[in-house]
Amino acid sequence: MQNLLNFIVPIAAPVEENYKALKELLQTLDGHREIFDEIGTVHFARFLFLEKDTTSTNEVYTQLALFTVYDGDFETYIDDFVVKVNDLFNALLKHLEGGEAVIPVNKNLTAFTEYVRKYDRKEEHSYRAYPNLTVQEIKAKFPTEN
Amino acid sequence: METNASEPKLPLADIQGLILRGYNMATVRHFILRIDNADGAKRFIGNLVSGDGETSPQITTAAWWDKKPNYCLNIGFTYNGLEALKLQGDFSLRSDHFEPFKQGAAARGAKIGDEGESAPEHWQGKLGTDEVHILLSVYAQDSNVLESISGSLRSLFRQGEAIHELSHFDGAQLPDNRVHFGYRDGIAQPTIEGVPTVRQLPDKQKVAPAYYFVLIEDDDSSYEVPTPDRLWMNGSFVAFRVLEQDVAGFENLLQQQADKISPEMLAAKMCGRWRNGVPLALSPDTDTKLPEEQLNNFDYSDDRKGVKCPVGSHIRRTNPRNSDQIQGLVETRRIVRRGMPYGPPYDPHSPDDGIKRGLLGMFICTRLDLQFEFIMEEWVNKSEFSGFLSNNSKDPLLGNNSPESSEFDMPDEKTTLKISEFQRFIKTRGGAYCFLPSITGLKYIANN
Repeated sequence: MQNLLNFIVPIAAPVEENYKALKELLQTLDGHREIFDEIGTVHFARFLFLEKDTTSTNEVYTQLALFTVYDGDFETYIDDFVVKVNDLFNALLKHLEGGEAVIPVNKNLTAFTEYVRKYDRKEEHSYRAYPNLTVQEIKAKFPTEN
Repeated sequence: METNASEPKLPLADIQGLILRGYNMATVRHFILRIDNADGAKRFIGNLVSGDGETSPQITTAAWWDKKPNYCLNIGFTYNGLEALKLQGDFSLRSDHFEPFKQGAAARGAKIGDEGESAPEHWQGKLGTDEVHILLSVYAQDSNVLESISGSLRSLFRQGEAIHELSHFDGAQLPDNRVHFGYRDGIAQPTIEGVPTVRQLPDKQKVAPAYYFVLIEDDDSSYEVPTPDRLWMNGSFVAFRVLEQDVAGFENLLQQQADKISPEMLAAKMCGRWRNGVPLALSPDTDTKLPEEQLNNFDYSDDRKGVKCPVGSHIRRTNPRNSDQIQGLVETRRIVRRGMPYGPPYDPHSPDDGIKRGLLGMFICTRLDLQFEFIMEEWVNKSEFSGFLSNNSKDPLLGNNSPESSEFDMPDEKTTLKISEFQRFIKTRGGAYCFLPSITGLKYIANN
């Protein structure tokens, strides 16, 4: 069963400094590909910045967004992500509004889950061609696409 | 004696023995006890760790022994039990990581498949009721020792009318470490960091950090040891389970399917091991014996579809060994298993003897929700975790199956042999979630 996450969170002040730090961190995400493959519940995940800071002369955004489609309950597998990418979560949260309060994530799992829920926006509408197929089922059918 | 890794060094003499070592004793008696008088119960507990074996049998620790003792003794408390002790000061578990222990096994039953005949309202020996406070387990080299230690303990229960025996469950080893279904048991256990072993079977799986089995402070663990430290540190949690095995029903199924698959091959496919313990992953066609050191040294990386060992088989579900073929990680779900059969061996000449038999199981970990319950809920009783399982299929041996919906797939390279309409073969007859304090923790209880 697929689930959606639409996580949109304000970047902490000072926004420009934290925006730049986040942008750098997101460049390292390709290095985590094998971890996401191993956990095997995420269909798609995309990070992007929203809401340009109109007061700044530089290109600065004020919000970080993560949109993802994943299998299973969030709570069931979040611990596995934390085992593998606790440092990444901590590094990202340092630059997000209210994020300091849930660092380190592995010792604050409940608070972290509540934090994610707080900034998870409910979509107005969604379409999925195969809402009940899991990553594992798709990989089982198409092993060469891994 | 070998040590698996240099760090961390666990304080073995402070940790209850069954958490880190298999005793390999002939018999066991699990006492299910109610605390009637907190002060008297604290005296009883203090005597168990006084170091004076003349006054009271003593709790067995994980400290190395040169000579195997005649008996081993361990003690666990339900959350109701800790409350009944009326400890001074706050011992509450604020983190919801420990919620299963607080709620107790009965409240969590439906989540892990304890439904219908297996539901807590049908459990035996008062298990599942609020009266269950203590699980006291005596392992003994023979029945004489078991009775002798039991006698000493029972006279101590009566002192000051502190402790009331609600029931007891007796178990005894079957020859060659078999369980009633005929399989050799207890082969695979996690290799735990920093724990010395006499003879650790080589294991392709990673060495497991000790914090999955003993409550210790570790930057990488997903919990903080609750307060007060002296009570919780170096303790662990156990799911005690009374699991009745329907051997006649199982053997009937094997015979019913004999026109499609030989009974021994079907028994092996359902378990993932031949009855002599040889894993299908290493020997898919024959039960010819393999050297002992090979029996736990395998994974399923070359068998994604389960042609050799079905993905739905019991040992592959309860320990999939390879994280890249399932949802989530395997390494975060490891548990220590201690089990002893109960009831006389099954006699195929009198299949309907009406005698109850099964397994008294102890499943040990630090996060009951993420380890024991996850295995039962997601791997034993669901199919979504793998892309190679029929929807809604369950563990053919341990799953909460019913003839209306059960199915089990055995693929080969071209086709899949499916069996269905089989019943549940293992019923839950009792359960308790208990905390196993350290020796320091037991002394804390005795003095507070």
